Parts: sequence; C-alpha cells; structure tokens
Amino acid sequence: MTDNLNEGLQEVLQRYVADPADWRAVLAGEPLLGMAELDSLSVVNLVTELELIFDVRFDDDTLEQTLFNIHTLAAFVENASLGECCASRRD
Amino acid sequence: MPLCQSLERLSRRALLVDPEGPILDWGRQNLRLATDEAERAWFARAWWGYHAIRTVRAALVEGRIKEVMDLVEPMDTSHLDRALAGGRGVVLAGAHLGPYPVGRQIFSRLGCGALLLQSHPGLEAPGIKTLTLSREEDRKKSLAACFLHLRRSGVVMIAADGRWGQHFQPYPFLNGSCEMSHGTAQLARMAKAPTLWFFILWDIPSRRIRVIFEDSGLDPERGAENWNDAWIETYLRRLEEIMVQTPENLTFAGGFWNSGQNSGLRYSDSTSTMQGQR
Repeated sequence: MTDNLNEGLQEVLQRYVADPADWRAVLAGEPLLGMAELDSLSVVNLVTELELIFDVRFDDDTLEQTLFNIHTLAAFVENASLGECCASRRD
Repeated sequence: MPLCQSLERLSRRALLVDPEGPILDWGRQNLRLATDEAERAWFARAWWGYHAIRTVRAALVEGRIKEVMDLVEPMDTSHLDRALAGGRGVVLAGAHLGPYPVGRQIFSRLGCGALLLQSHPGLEAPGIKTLTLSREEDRKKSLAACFLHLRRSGVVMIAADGRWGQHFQPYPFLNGSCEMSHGTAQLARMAKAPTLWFFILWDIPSRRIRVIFEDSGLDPERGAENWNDAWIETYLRRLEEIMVQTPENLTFAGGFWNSGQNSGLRYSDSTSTMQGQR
C-alpha cells in the first residue's frame, strides 16, 4: 500500500476512533467493529466518507470482511483504487 | 389436521373461552375496553390471534409452506412497484403484528431480493438475504449494510417495533408511552429512500392473510428537521389503528406490547405460558 493511501486512510479512521488505547488496537489489527466509539450510524458515515475520499464503492455483501480490521480495509481501498486506475488507463 | 381447519376450530373455541388472564388485563389497561360485551368480543379475537400465530408458526416449522401460503390473499404490489421505480430502493417498515413469520416466504415469492433484518436466525427461504442482529458487530454494520443495499435499488425490510437499536426515546403510544430507536427513520433519510408500511394481517372472518404495502406519505427529500420524530410518530399512529381495530393481529408473539425500557414496543418476556395453548 502506498504511504499516501495509508496515511489518508489512517487520518479518516482516527476521526472515528479517537480514544488513544482504541486507536493503538486499531493499528494492531483489532476488529474495527469492536471499537466502542463506532456505532451503527458512525459506520455509515465512515463508509460514505471513505467512498468519497478514495473513490471506492463498498458492497453490503462483503461489508463485514472489508471492515474487519485496518489491514482488510486498506487492502480493499488499495485494490479498488488500483482497479479504478487500470480502468482509467484502459479508457 | 389441515391448517385452515385448525384455524377454524380455534375460532369456535375462542367464542367459548371466558375472558381472563394477562391478555385481558393488557386490553383493559391499554385500550380501556368499555363494557363486558366489548371485552368479550375483543378477547375472543385477541385470544384467536394469540393462538393462530403459534399454529401458523408450527406449520412453517413442519415445512407445510404451501398450506400456509394458500392462506395468503393475492397481493397488490403496486405501491412497492412504484416506489422501486424511483431507483432509490425501498424501506419496508413492518411490525410484529398478525402472522408476520410468513414474511420471508412472501419475500421469497416476490423475488425482489429483499434484505431482512432479524433478531434471530429464522426459517430458510430461498431468494432473500437476512442480517441477524444478535451480535454487537452485526448491529454496528446493519445500518451501513442496509444503506448500501438501498443504494443498489434494493428492498430492506425492518420490523421497526423491534428491540434492537440505539438511542431509544419515549413516544406517546396507546394509553402510555413506548421507547423507540431512530435507526429505521435515519436509514430512510440517509438513503433518501421512500418508506412503505408493510403489514401481514389476519382478515376476519375469512381467516386468510392479507399482505399490505402502504404509502407512508413520508418524503425523505422534503423531510423537516424533526424527520426522525415525524417518521416514528406516523409509524406508531398506524400501528395503533391496527392494534385497536383488529385485536386478532396483536398476537403477543414476542411478549406484551408497550412495556419495558430500551425494548422497542415488544417486551422480551414470553407470554407463552400465560395463556396456555389449547
């Protein structure tokens, strides 16, 4: 994952998980949905914000796997961005 | 015994049962039944509905799907079709009224790829997606999953009187108040999706099942700042109408209505031992 993408993702996520101990757990790969600050409404806001910033589209069928932890989320954003980039080049 | 005969037998029995017990107490407290005669008529219908849903649920568990579905009257899906044509998906706000466990079979038959939110895993039905809310993680992702499903022009069915949710607030209901979560209202607003009321109700005296898709009249594009309150109050008024006018649809399947804190409308204590299956 590129440093820019990684930093951008962390910047967004940290707005939703501000507690220092929870944030360390997020960076260590703990499940995102286990974080107390993330409730159902903030998950919607997180998803829509990530879509806007990284130009990706989440899918309800794969939401739980995608949001499992910071690593799965980063992989999703990177793959989706790469796919978008390749599609743009083909165009 | 065929299902329709069981239901018919329950009807005859209901006329003979003396009004008593927790269901009658609930009716007296919440509906202020005026006279002994009114009580007797009300109790017979409520008693029948209480046992009818359990009879139908047993038939579903036994796999007698065709028998149950033969009770369903032809469905008018014109409201649903029109709402779907808008391209923003549709929120179907249901309730634990009438023979609601038939819902998954109905959606399976409709073939609209509905996503159903459920408190516990239910009976399998092909062609529907379910999201069980018993785990904390599932509850946290539920709103986002519904939002994404609506964005694909999908149908999301939520029993908005359920006990799962966050940020419960009290609202006037019947002769008291109930606590409701804002989740379903927020979802409709965020997705700008139309809300239809969706009910599966008994028709008396035919003892057949009516499936109702109703326009809620709520417009998420033009909703006021107090959208959540307006949504919930409109929903509760419709529920009150059904509960007052058709006691057979009360069912008490998940316990008594309108009790307990942070429980939605339904209290979690079971009434199954209180009225005794006969």
